[in-house]
Amino acid sequence: MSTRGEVRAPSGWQFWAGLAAGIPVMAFGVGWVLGHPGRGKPVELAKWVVGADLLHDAVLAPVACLVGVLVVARLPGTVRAPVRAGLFTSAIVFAVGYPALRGFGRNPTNPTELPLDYATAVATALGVVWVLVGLWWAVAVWTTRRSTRSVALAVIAKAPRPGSSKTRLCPPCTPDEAAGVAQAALEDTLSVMATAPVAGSRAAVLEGEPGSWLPDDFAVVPQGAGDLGDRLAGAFAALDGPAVVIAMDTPQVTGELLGSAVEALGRPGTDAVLGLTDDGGYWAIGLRRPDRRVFEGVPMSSPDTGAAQLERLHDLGLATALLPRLRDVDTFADAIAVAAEAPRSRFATAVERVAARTGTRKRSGRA
Amino acid sequence: MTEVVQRALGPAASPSRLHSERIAAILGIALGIAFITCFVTGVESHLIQDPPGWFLWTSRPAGLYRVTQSVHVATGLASIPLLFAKLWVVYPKLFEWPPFTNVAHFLERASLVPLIGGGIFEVFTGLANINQWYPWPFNFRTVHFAVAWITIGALIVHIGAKWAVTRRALSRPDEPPTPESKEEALDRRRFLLGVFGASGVVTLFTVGQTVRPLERLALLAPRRPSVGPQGFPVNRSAAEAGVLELARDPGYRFTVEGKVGRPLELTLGQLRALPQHEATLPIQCVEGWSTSQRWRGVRVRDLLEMAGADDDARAQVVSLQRRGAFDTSDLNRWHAHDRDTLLALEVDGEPLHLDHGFPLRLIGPNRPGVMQTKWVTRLVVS
Repeated sequence: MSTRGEVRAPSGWQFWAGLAAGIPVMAFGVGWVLGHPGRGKPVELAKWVVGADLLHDAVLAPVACLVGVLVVARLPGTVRAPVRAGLFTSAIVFAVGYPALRGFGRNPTNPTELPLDYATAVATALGVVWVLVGLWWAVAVWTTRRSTRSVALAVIAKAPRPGSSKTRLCPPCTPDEAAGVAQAALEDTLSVMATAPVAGSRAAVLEGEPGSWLPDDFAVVPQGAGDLGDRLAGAFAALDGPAVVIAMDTPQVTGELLGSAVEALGRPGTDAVLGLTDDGGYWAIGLRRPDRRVFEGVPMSSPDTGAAQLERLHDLGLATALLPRLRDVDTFADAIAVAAEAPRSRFATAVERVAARTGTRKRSGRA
Repeated sequence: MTEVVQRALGPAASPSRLHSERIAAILGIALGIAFITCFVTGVESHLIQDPPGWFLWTSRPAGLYRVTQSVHVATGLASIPLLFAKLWVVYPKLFEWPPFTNVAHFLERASLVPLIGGGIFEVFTGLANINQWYPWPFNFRTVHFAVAWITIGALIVHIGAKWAVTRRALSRPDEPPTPESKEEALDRRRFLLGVFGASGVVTLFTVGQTVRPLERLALLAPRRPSVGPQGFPVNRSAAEAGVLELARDPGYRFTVEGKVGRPLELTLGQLRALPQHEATLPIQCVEGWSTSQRWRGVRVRDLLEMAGADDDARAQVVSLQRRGAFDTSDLNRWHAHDRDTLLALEVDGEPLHLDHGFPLRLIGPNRPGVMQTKWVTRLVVS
């Protein structure tokens, strides 16, 4: 684990023993240079050694970290580790090849020194590195696919209908507008699901009739009776296998997020995934096996729903991976905040239209 | 401040996961083993080249130095990625505040300057040296040797300081694994695969300078063991050594002198007329490449016997060489009397190429290449 925020002084007899043994060894090296001042040039040497340290701390490490933040951290999960390794190895290969590349040791009387065309040689070595990176990435994608192919991805939703959809957005929305916003949220969610980088089947667990908004390759699973818990239990039973079910109130969800949810569930040792929301509920739940008990005694639509659900999963002994927390859309303030998180979505357009009509000022997306 | 830096450093999804004590411990152990291996093999090489009175280097096994020096260079190269990865992992600690809390802590952190500066200095100077690149004002061997001691001394201090932390970081956690801890372990393994993979790649592209079957892969090595006159490389050419004329002079004589009963002075023809002996022996350059050839020439011990030297005589071999170091080399009593220590006239059935030491070169078992003196003109017995 990280030692973030913790400053530790060394202690124990090992430290003092190391000091007692190490100092004479260092002293021998210092003495050797001082004893050979003509060949060792002590002052110059000290500058080089301390300079190497400073060069690393002030230049090399910050550059590496910058590349990490600007490039590596922005890559999606499967490709991140191979590309990080590829960039690092490339830098090392370039550094090791640099003296030869520049031909510092080239000697006209001795053609056996630097016998190759090192521009080609270094380029070839880098090419091999990136072929290995590609292979690693391909293997990662393949294993992820294999472990996620059987995981179904489903949304539990109501077919949008004026007067019953997202009524808590009224006012300022009219019932028609609320239904429009709900439909936009659902369409955004469906299109993210459709393009998410996962190989399993897609389904919509619907209350009401499917409309033209439902993509063709989505299976339709009718919702059962009972409260939300019963209907979720029914959905998992109907999906009959590992599945991740998400709500339709988080249109800011991304394909990467869904991919990581499915991937987490596909990983050996994980039995469940849960994505909590800021208002105490949850936006996603995934189970490796349908299990009606998961939803027993969990109060739905309360500020404790998420916590209670997590506790229930733990009580059942299911190893649960938590997904990133999201803000879900309940009130119009939520809608504006979420629209700011996904500014190019259908949802944002629908919310924008209402805001423009009612004169509601757009606020910052951060709550 | 540490938090700010750590947040800025790690992958967005997991800010501090890779800057972990466990990764630092694993890389630290690998790097420690690599540095200590370099140190031991380096000190060995240094002692062979500048033997103090108490040190007597064996002539057997014949290929021992080839192994230890190849390991020295290959391990040094392989440690470059380990060093920089390790430094990246612990980089956030640079910004710890307060910088130290007591004397022990101050000493521990102060020892990092020679450890990190020395470590980078050693891999850089080693890399430059195998490329015969000397962009500094001091003598390579003197400072590479001295800074090795400084770095290893600092490493010993560091091992003592990190003993407890490392043991804890490597112990199995008490809690059962959670999905998060498994994810963290997976991330860690991927990171370490990348780092050790980089070491493997560097090795793959350089080790062919000494491991013949991998020669074609030696894209980053400054030498190819089969490229050169008569099929192997040259470290110092006849032109560089300033022997182009001297070595081809028809008046060339080889002499055995010093503490001998009968000093010898032999022409090239007379040398060729002496009993010849063959041996397959490696040339292991201190810069990491090596090659093995079939040599033919006169045994040094036969010459010593002819000259009436003592049974435990030692000798110095002197070159015609006018420029550069290594114009002489010493044969201790084991090397002088080894049955395979030759003054060679031929290699692989041909007279030596001028760049390989024509007319006469020393070749003996278990010696660094720089001590296989070329263009030999004198054997001084003591």
